[in-house]
Amino acid sequence: MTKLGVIVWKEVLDLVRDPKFVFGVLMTIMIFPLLGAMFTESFKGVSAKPIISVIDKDFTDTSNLYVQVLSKYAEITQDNKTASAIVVIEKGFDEKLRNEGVLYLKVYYVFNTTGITSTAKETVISGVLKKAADDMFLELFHIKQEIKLDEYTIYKNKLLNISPSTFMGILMGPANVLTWAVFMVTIMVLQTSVISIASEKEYKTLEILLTQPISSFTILSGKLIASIIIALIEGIATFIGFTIYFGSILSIEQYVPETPTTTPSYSVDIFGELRKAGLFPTSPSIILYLGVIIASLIFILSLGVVIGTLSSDTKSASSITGILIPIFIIPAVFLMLSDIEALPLTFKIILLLIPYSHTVLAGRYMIMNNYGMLTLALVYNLVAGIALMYVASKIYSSETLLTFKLEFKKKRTESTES
Amino acid sequence: MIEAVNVKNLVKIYSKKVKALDRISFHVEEGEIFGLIGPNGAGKTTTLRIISTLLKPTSGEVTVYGIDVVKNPMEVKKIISYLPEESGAYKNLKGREFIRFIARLNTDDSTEEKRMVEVAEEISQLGERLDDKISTYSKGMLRRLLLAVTLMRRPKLAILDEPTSGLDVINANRVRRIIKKYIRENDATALVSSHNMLEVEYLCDRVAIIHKGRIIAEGEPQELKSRYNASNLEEVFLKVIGI
Repeated sequence: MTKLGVIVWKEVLDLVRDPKFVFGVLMTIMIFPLLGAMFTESFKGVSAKPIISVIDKDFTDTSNLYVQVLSKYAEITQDNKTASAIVVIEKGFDEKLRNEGVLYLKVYYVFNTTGITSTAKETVISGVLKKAADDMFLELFHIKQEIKLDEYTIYKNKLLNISPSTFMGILMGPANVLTWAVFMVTIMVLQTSVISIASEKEYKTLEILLTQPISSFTILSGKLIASIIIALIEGIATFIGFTIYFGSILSIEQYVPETPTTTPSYSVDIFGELRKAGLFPTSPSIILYLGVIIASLIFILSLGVVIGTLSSDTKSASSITGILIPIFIIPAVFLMLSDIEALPLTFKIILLLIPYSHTVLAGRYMIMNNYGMLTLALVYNLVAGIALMYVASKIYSSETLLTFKLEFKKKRTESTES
Repeated sequence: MIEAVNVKNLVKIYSKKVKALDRISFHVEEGEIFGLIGPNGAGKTTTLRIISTLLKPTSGEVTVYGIDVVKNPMEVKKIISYLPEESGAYKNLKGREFIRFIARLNTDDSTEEKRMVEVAEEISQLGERLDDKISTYSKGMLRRLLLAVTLMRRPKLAILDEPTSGLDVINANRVRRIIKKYIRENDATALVSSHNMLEVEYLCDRVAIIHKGRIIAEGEPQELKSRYNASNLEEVFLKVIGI
């Protein structure tokens, strides 16, 4: 074996034996099928034949033919409450089609939840409408003609003068960016608190500190407050970045005088429409959301102290943190993209048992002004955080702090200390 | 004579059923430098950690100046100072900042804090290097800094675990002289552990030899040498364990 080969062999052996690597490989194998299964469940409703309510105001043979063709691809209903979309065939439909060669429809997409599956619903419905139009063109004219959809959104029985793609983009974009920003701060807080405890062990400063005439509670509190200060500095930096981002989003209002896919030439106040639907955070929502973040930080800090206590040095602490982070990432990614309401009960319970899931969902609840769910997220995180803090303080004031060593690379018995 | 430390039938069993200490007893008198000597893994550090309130004994009794270390650890912490083996310091702090940090944990009085800093400056002999980050210090400099913060508090009992561990001859000699001078000049008491028996012979008034968690011999270095007809404590140790 060459010298280079020897180095490579040692490095590979060292890395492969790191449980972080083994866990990473296992997680990668498990995450994608798991996410796939969850998304499949979420999309089941979307991929089924869409239910469309049709209101035919033209009442001609042509409009009737279109409804017939459409029924091949969608379930036609007269009940607006169960429909995923309401299609209005305006008077003059037949005339416009024959004279201008344009098939014109008004479409109202009905949403009760938000998430990637809702966005997919729009794609499925517009695809069905276009497919039916193409079929009819071929039957009537033997060539394809133009189709124009005038699109609107109905969110929880409120009519919004914006297309569903604009609605989802504006609604979900800021919520997801906010969630990512909070997620980054959370990971940083976790690492700061873990390192704060584990480095005391690694650099062998813990014993000096513990024999000073101060209580363990004072030391622990000092560490937690310092971790929060560091996290706040990072949080402020994130907030500044987010504000710039959000400011640029808000400026879209000036550049979007019309809804993107419609023909009428009236101006649209996108955020006015969102406010009308109750989808703009109110002051109580923002305060509750900040409360959720603080409660979540308490939970994360306590978790960090427990991990730091169980680690013998910063390397093993980093390994444990590396194992735990995917447990945050999986629900965070899934919940940011999907509708928790669309999940089977088992998945839903598993996700909601993780306190951090509530923090991720809180971003969306703030925008929707869902005070009940925001309060639940705050209380759940706070209770979990205080319980874990109690465990952390018990560990910190016991000799476990000095004697417990979770090491991955070597096994040592306590007797070697003496 | 006042008893600075009294250890009676001390037993320590770790959770993995490792018996680190097996009914050891000894006492340290006020004003003396007492040495706990023995090989690695003999139970020295465990004993010092129990006396320093860091660990709890499985059974037995330990008092420092009459105060029970289990029942009243905070009162014990006020009169002791502990220098762990191979201890470190916060690498991103400067030497002077570290001294102030420890001083402020021990006093709210600015005059006393100032006094502690001056004493630490004198003991450490680090001069202007105290304004450098600790990460730039050599092992010898770090040990002198730690010894300085241990002694600047004027503890009634200084507990020093392997104070010269890992140091070269010059630095080890310097540290030994600092300890001896400080204890003598301040009428303090020191409990020192070491596996270096020659060092203990130079430093200590009395010693106890510990092996496999039990004390196998105790007395003044000269007395032990005479008793076992040995030229130094290393020979005493080897004869006691039958090698």
